[in-house]
Amino acid sequence: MTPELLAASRIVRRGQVLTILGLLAATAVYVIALCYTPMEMRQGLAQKIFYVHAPAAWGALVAFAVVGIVSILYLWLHDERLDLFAASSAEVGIAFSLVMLTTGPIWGKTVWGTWWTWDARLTLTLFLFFLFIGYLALRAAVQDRGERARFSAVVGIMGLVLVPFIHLSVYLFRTLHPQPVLLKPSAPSMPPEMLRALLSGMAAFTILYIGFVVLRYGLARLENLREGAGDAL
Amino acid sequence: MPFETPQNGGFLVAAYVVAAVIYLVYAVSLWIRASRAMRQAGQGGSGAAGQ
Repeated sequence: MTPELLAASRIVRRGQVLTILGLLAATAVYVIALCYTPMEMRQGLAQKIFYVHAPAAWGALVAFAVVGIVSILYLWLHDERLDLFAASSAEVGIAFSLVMLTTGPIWGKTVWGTWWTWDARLTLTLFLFFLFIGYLALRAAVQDRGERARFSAVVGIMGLVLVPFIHLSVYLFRTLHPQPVLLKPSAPSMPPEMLRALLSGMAAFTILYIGFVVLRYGLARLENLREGAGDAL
Repeated sequence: MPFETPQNGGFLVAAYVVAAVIYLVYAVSLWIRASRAMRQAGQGGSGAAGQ
């Protein structure tokens, strides 16, 4: 077994352990949200969708921000591992976005009376999702490894530019989407039990994000070794 | 003016189930792809060592 293969396998194993920890932590968040948080009287039980929706949004935005930052580092340092890490974070970000974009409309239907509305926050988030679908499609389409890394790094940086706009869109535009309750200059605007559940959710889904990314990165390293062996033949 | 708390527990269940399914399907997909890649890499490595 070559040292590269050994290193990639070790990363995969670490990713598997972290993913299991993340899934267990996510299960704990489900229990906390369902059993230990009060019911919001005006919104009913559907308000508890918040404890899954907000951490998924957090995970997605962190993932896409990481893609952009690591892409900048790739263009600077030209280290292939940075490109593989960015691509891994993009794929994981899409999984988190899918949760955000499905749980959001389910909650929206109960609060706004509609599944979807084309307001700034929702539209920009959907645009970001499609941008990273395009990022992965681009990677699948370009065969040359150097070109693929360079082109996708540019798209990744464009995604990073969108992230702060999405967070600030509720301040910049008239929108139905509620304003942040946690990531804002003033103190969190929610009861302590709800805040605890939200913070646990964000911590748990951050662990899950790290687990997914490490596992996907290990897989990318293995695929890269195979691709390299194919090129050498 | 008094208000009635809406009965919308079904939406809560739907959202939690959808989220769990997406996370689990993605975790299983990563797991299977990684296991397959490690197996293939191991076979390739032992093949190369044998030559």
